[in-house]
Amino acid sequence: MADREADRADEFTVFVEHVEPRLRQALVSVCGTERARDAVADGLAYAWQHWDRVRAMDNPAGYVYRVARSRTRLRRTRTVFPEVAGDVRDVEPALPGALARLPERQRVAVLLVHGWDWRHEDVAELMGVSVSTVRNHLARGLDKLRTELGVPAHG
Amino acid sequence: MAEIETQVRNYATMLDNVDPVRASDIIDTSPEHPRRRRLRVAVAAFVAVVVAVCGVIVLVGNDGGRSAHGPSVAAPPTSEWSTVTDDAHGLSISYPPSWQAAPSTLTPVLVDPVVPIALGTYPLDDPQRMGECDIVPQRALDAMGPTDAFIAVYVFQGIGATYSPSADRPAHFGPDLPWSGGSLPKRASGSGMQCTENVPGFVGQLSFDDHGKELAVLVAIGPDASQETRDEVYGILDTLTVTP
Repeated sequence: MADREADRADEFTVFVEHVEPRLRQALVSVCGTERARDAVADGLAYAWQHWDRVRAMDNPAGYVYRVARSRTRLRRTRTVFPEVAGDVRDVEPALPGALARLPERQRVAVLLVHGWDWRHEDVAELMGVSVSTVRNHLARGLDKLRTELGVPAHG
Repeated sequence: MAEIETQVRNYATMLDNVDPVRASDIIDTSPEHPRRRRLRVAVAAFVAVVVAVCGVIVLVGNDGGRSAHGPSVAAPPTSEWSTVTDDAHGLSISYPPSWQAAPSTLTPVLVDPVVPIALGTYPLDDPQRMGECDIVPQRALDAMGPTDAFIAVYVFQGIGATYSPSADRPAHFGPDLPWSGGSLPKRASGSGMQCTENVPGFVGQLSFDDHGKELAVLVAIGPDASQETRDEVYGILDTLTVTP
């Protein structure tokens, strides 16, 4: 019995090591830096409680992301991003606020793709949507940011 | 001024300082002693029996049973609630801040019935495509998390749908109504609810007449939805108004 529990724990540990960094980036995009760690912990705790079911899923990371996201949303707090630090170059001070005001999926697409170099396919898999939907969210999000910050489109 | 993509990339470096969560933060790594486990199971069983007995007493005291989906005490709307209207079909419905309305119909291919209003505790921006299940907003249901809930309002047009005459609209929506899990808006082809088999939790529909209109509501509630969310589902449905 103890051996089986240890095996489950080992398997879950490998899963966490594999998905946690990207799950954290995705949830920072959803709910900001202050609440992201709690959201990640909520999602992973749910995964551990239901590990036998979650481990058998085709896309367990996407499922944990959705669990964490929906639990975070129930808390009904605003998404807040930190002010731009003095040593960060070429960033308008209004960017954090503009990001926070984007619709959630647009913000997630913008930050994951342009902030952390995720492939469109990986964002789509995490969000459970098609790649074309991700591209739409991305284009609309960037357009809104450009408009709000007064940045001309390139080209 | 730097391009927006560059700004986002530079700013994201500031967002990497969130402490990671480790498996050891989640798992109780100390193996449980068998005797302790047996004691825990026994205590849990005793608590479950006590809760069940108390629950039965409460239900009997209320002169009527509740279904397994929770109490039918609807959450009252407050000034924070928003309202979405559909002028084409004379519908409006209000929802709390934790919910959101689909920006457009989730079943654009469906002609009769139509789904002019859909609400969820999560973003609803992925409508059905041509060739997919058209009677049920399956993409929206697939995106539902275990703690989420979803509502769709169907309006029968009298064009191609077969509509079974049903009861008048209930005075209040709640879990103890005769929700059906297998006879969603039937079309001539009788497609039923075949697109909801993989949705975890509760999925049900209720057909009714209101001001001469033939309506149905489809409700989905995730298996881990809070009682607050469950109550909101029925509170939202109670705000549905139909203009003749």
